[in-house]
Amino acid sequence: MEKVRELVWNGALNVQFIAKSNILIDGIPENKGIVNLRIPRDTYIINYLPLVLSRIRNVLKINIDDYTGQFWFEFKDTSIPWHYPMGVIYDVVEPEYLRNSAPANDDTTLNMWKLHLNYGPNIPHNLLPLIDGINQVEKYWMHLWKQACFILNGSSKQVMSVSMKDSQIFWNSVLLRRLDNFEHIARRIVPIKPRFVPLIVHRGLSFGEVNQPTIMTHKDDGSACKILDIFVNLSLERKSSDIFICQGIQIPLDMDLTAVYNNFMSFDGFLHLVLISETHSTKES
Amino acid sequence: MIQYDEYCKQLQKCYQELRIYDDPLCQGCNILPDELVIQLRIPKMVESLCDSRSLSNIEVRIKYSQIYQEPILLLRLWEFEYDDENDVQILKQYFPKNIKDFLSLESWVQIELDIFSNDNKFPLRSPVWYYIHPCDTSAIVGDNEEAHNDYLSRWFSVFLLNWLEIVR
Repeated sequence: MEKVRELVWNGALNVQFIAKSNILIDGIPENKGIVNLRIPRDTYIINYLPLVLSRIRNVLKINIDDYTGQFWFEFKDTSIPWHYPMGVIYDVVEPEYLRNSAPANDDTTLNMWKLHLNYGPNIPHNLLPLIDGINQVEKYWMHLWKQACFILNGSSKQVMSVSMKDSQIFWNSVLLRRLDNFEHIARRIVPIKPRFVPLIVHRGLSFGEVNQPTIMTHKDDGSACKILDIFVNLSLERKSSDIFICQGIQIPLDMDLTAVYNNFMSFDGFLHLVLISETHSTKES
Repeated sequence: MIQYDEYCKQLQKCYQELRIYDDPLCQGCNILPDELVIQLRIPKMVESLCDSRSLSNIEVRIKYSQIYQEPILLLRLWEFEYDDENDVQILKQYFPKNIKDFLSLESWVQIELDIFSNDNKFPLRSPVWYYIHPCDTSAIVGDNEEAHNDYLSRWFSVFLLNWLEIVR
């Protein structure tokens, strides 16, 4: 399991941030507002906003030390949320890369996710505004861990009893990419045999369409719940082409839910699965 | 903790008995089988902290959390903004720097912003709400078996009515 956790933790995306021309100083060519970064999948994209802004501060119309509006990211003119792990957002909007995986595995090509940086007095209505800067991101993440803990243990005590010092180490493990510190504290919260799994199912190519089913790890007859059982739980008719993606990987439908959770859990304590069905794919084309 | 069916039953009872719709601050009240939505006027105490802002109302929503198996209280603030381009007044959400101080909430209240994405009934409306964290609700409200029939009534008292008394 450690090996898989390491691979999941180190999974990363090449992201090209492009400042929209309306936020660049007049006359500045677009290529001066570009920042290329390799960013872990299992983190919030908003954690990288200060770095992106610092790289292009000299070409922005906005004074990044003193601004009252909001920055946000867009993909193909659609604003993208920051409150899900970055890799999940990528899997939701770009699931086709799995169906056509050849370019990604070719040594001569580089997959680059192009996102636009935008700014305005008001954030698009579907996004969580940042009122308290990066502090708010940490609080939000801790709130998700409280939820995850409640689902796993029937109480948030395990999170509430993490000391202030360990809580800071926990958050820093996400920012500084220290898997050992992360696992050390996460495993104090996640029981060995949970009854329920904190699960969020996202629909591919459809932002905001999510389900948070309450799903037990074992059925009444004692058998382990499989990924396949999520269809029944969500009252969805399964089509032969339907696939679940987690951390950029297609998950076999006959895998035990607990095993998938233990291996692929995100840094927010949830298992994020992206359901891609043929109807979603054809909608795009 | 309260089971969903019991919550729905007690919600209807509280709506009838607590008569929040008669409160002088209440502009409107909409009861659904498992939700209560209340539009409140801006209380005087809050208005005094607004500076030059023109606040419209506070929208309060009580719904059931399947995760915590508790009622949860969501709220958001609306303010008027003049749209010069179209020469109309519009409503937009207001996010004060410190919501807890702004609303004079009690010290034990943990309030955060969150997205309630499952609210697909009104896809064009903002899914962003402040919510009061429910993880200590049972301890705050008191959860013994004899008093369980009044669980939601006590919850209303602690989470909403006390606050209305303070700020009105």
